Amino acid sequence: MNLVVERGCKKIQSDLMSGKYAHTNGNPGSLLKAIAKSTDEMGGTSGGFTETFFKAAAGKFAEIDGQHGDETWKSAFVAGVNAVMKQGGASVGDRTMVDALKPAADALEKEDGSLAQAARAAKDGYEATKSMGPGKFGRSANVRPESLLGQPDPGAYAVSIALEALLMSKQ
Amino acid sequence: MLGESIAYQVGLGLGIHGEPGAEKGLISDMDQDNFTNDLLSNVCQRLDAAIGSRPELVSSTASLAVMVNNLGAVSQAEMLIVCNAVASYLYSRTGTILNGYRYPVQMFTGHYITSLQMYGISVTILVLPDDGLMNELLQAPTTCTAWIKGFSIRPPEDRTVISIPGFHYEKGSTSDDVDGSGLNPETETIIKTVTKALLSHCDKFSAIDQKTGDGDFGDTGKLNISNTLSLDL
Repeated sequence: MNLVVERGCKKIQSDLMSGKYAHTNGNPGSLLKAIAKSTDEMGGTSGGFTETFFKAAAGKFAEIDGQHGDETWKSAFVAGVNAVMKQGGASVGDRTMVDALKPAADALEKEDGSLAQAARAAKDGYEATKSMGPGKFGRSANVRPESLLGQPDPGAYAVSIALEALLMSKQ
Repeated sequence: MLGESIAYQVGLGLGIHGEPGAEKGLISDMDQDNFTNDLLSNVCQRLDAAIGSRPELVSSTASLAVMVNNLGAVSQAEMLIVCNAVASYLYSRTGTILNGYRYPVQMFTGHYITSLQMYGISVTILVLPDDGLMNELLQAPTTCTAWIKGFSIRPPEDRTVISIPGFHYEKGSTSDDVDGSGLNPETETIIKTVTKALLSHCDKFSAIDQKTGDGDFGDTGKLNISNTLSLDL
């Protein structure tokens, strides 16, 4: 997984610094779409889901007219998660990235939902994967149950790290 | 002289009126790094004990305000060394607080409560709820001269140089190079921070994946996802 994540992040960073996102300034939906394009060559199943997530999130901005505020970002995140779940078919408990994504989306959908709550929910979700047996989906599906216990799902871990970093960066 | 270390006497948990502290002992100059870590783990443990078991407080926490107070006689240079150590502790994986969650931190440093000749520091950690009110109050203007406004600190790996708008650094670059991303700096920072964080964990992903999966997290090639989302933005 390190290769997939590394490819994705490095591509995003290089696209960012070579000005490929410059045209999206002021337009969040357009930025999300550009990021989705960057993840196009990530490879792997998780790369596909990452692209799906960003495209669906971008779609939310296109859908909603007028000023885009925090609420739009929250809906965009939720839309991204729903798209991933629909595409892959996994639910909470299947030991996949969904185990961090869905709780985060649920936290944002609450009336006073905040990014901090979403980050916490994602972390709790990732911790919970440590005690899950093999799911129907994800890379653990073909592994013996005994090897799994105590280890988290790497996808859920990645989501938790990303949300925590997002929280840290918004000060 | 080589091989000789100097030992200093230090007290932990002293009272500002000279009350004896919780601990007293000798610290060598080689223990300095651990000293701040020990101090902070002490404070964080107490905080966790007070708040960690109350889910309603934990779940409404959005950030921390950390006050590194100069008790009187510490030089500014030394204060900043301590602040740096505090920041490193809070963002390191071993410096956990409130059940291991990490939070954005506002740091305050100054002479907030002092005593003559006290050569020492105190650290106070405030847990701030997500309604933002406390943040507003902490940043509110005041005529109190001792109150120095806080500043946001970032994890050490995410501190970047902010480029000055309109000022272009001369550097040898190809015609393809663009100075910066063209996005507003905040957006650029967010993207950089998240990707850096993920990149810094890549070997952990690999280690987990080796134990729990097929060890490649998708090297088998990109799943051909039939794209039902067609967007025209």
